[in-house]
Amino acid sequence: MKIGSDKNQAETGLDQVGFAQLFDAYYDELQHFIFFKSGDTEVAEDIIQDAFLKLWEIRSTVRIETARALLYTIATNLFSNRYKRMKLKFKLQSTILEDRTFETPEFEMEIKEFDQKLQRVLSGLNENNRTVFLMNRIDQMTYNEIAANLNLSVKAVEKRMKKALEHIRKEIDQKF
Amino acid sequence: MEKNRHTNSQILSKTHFDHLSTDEKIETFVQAYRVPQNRSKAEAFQVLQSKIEHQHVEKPVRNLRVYWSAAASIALVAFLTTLYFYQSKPSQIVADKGSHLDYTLPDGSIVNINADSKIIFTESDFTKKRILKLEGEAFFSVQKGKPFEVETKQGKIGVLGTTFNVYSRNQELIVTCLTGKVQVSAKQQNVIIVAGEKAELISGSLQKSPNTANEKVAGWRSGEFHFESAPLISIFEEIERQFNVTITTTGLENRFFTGDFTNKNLAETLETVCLPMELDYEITNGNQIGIKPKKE
Repeated sequence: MKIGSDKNQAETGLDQVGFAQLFDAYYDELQHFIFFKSGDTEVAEDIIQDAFLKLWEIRSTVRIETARALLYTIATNLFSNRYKRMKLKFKLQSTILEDRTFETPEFEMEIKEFDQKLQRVLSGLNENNRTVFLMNRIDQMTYNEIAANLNLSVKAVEKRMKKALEHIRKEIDQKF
Repeated sequence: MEKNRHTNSQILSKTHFDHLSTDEKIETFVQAYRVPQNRSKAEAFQVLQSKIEHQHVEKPVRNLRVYWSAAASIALVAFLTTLYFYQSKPSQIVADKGSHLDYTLPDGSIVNINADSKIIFTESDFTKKRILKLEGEAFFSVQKGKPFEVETKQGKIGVLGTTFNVYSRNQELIVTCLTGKVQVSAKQQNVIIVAGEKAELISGSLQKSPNTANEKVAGWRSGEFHFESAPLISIFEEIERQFNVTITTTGLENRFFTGDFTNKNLAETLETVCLPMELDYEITNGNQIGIKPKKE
């Protein structure tokens, strides 16, 4: 007779509590992840809703230690199936520009132009390279963490980071 | 989640900005970016929960479509349905007032059913899952094997292989364990009792206590009844059941009885209870009994 639920590490299957914990722990980073791909808040939120819904449906087979990477996989698939060729226009929230007074209106213009330029460059980046780059820079995930979440090798993550940086650097230097 | 980031306010002075390399400018800006959210995490969770609930409602509708194709072979379905209902007709094993009944279940477990009690189970289901319903009192000797469950109006009892007694009448539930281990669930509460313990539902709360008269609990099987500070009214109800008589009582509220009686002789039993409790009894028409306190 089994009483209560003793949380065994190797146990398969999620209960409601485990599910809510996963949601709490990973909702933000997953929403960011799809945003990095799509540049669209609404798309990101819809996809992550459906990803968790899917996880709920298959909860009896889910192991808590592998759930994070699984969520990334589900979200990636949902996104690539639905929004194959989407025109991107990034609108990241630039905290650096918030609540600030600038020395001169000209300087304010210059800064805002740089911001817009940078966001345009990010939009034009290869989706995979951009995603890895922003996971590292905005969500401050380590290469190891990213590799584990996306089922990539650390080498592949490094390569994507390098490509992203090279591309951004080149584009910014060219037109600024 | 949110980690500290140092945004140097100096960075945005013109002289400083102009001195930054392209890489430094990029890093400064990128690291200060935040992902916009239309709804907070808490709101998103609420939306998700309502979606999950909706799914539960929709599911059977979707499944119907699957069954639709199967419905083509209607004759077969009808045949199977008849067979199913024939097999799954619940059996009721009833012990009437004034009688006890011993019954062997399909798995070899033995149930002794007390007077005015019954068990209900479905033979085809029972072989898959050992579940039965009980109204009244019964003693179970359960064969080892899959979990064995007894459902009563007040709660559930789950065991593996043991012997235990269940008393489930009116609002009362008393489960006594004689060997092995028994789990009792009632009113969202769970207790596990082992040999020599009993679980009792007392005004809505399930309580565990040692059973002081272990061997006497199931004594009713050999016609011996034992009560420990039991409401006097329930004693007379037990006598009604054992002798198939009707007893009317007056002025017995809030009185309790501890003692034994047998189901061999009605007059003797009435004496056993009435004498120490200072009660008078009167038998009319052979099976009508009136009980009232002795006059001073």
